Amino acid sequence: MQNMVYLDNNATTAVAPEVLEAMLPFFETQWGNPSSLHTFGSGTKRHIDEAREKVAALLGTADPSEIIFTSCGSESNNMALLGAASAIGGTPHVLTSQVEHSAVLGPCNKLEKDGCRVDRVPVDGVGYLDLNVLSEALTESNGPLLASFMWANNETGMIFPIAELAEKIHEAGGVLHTDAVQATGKLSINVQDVPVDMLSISGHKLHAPKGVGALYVRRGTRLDPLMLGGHQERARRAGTENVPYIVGLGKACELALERLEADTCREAQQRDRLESGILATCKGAVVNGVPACRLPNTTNISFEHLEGEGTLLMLDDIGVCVSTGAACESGSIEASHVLKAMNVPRSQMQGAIRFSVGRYTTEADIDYVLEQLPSIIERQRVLSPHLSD
Amino acid sequence: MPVPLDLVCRCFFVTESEITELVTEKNFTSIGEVTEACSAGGGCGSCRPDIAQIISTITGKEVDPFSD
Repeated sequence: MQNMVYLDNNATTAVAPEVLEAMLPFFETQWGNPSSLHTFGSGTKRHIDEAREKVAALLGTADPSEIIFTSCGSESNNMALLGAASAIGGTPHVLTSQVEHSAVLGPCNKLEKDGCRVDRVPVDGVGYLDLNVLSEALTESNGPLLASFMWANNETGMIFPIAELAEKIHEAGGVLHTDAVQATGKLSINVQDVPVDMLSISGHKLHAPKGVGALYVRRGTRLDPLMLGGHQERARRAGTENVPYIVGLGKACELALERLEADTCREAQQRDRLESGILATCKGAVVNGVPACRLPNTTNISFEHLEGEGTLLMLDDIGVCVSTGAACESGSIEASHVLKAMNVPRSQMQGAIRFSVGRYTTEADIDYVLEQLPSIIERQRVLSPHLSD
Repeated sequence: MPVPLDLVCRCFFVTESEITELVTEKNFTSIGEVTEACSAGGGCGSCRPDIAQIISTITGKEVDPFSD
């Protein structure tokens, strides 16, 4: 068996060596508190500012003060939705999609409990957002409007038309947040070209460590803080700054910007080779999503009449890491809410596997999976209770 | 890697010259055809007006950026 083959980069990514190197001094020697008045502590503030500039550069804003550091993408999503709803006041009309990450669906459920009308726009069979339903919901909207649509889906990689959504939501006088946790570092993001009001990112999806994220908040967007009791992040997020991780996120964003086109093109080629190889050699393999409109690194493939968990475990046995859906949902027999929303046939839904390549995926990794997977699928088919012959 | 000066689709890194070549060679008349062939316009959609403009210039017919 060869070394581990990691094809689960939508779940998390390896910390880049350059990122780790940038972080270490802030554990070893520069561990002061940025809020301290002495030079040892306050000297670290400059490094936070530099990291903020690097995150801003990756997102295409010239104003670093529009970046708030958080502990993760989920916190960014919660802050955007709950903080904006609180600042708007009353019970704003909330618009989102049926295929969002649970870190968006959770706050939306809370807002619904608090009395907000929440419309969850459906998607079609390949994961396109139903823009007719969206338009109807916008027509019925007559009060303050808060919308949240993901830039790209974590399970299928399908990309939403965020530019068009921004135009529609703004025409209706609403505020638009986008969960760009999966898109950042995989697609070119520019908040000047695509004028969203808020945008969430997560460090560990782009080769920074787990435990750090950021929320972009366009100047002028009203947002109440969720964490109180400190002046940090311009009083928008209390708590002593996690300096090493913030520095790590800054470095990761700098690397992502430098490497974006090269990484994206290589990953797309690897993903396409993996996908076409699997479709050619594995019986009952079907891609969920549309090839032209997906993240360059992601393919979600259903193996008809099989249980994805079984395939995942057999791949795990030979050192290949994949996912049956969102990582936090693996281990549950419950089918993915994303594939359910797409009305993927029952015979395909349980057998879906997400392969997500990344910066460190090699051609040998792809070769190994293409060599091993057909026999695993064949064995699974023999064992499947859903196949009688 | 430097970003090409005539980059149109920032999601999938497709340039104006590549789209022009496709539209001319394959006689494409819609954004959908371009997206299917090279992914351009299939991401965030911010380049769809630009692709519509390229098609219009070549075909002489107006193209709605968000019609297909």
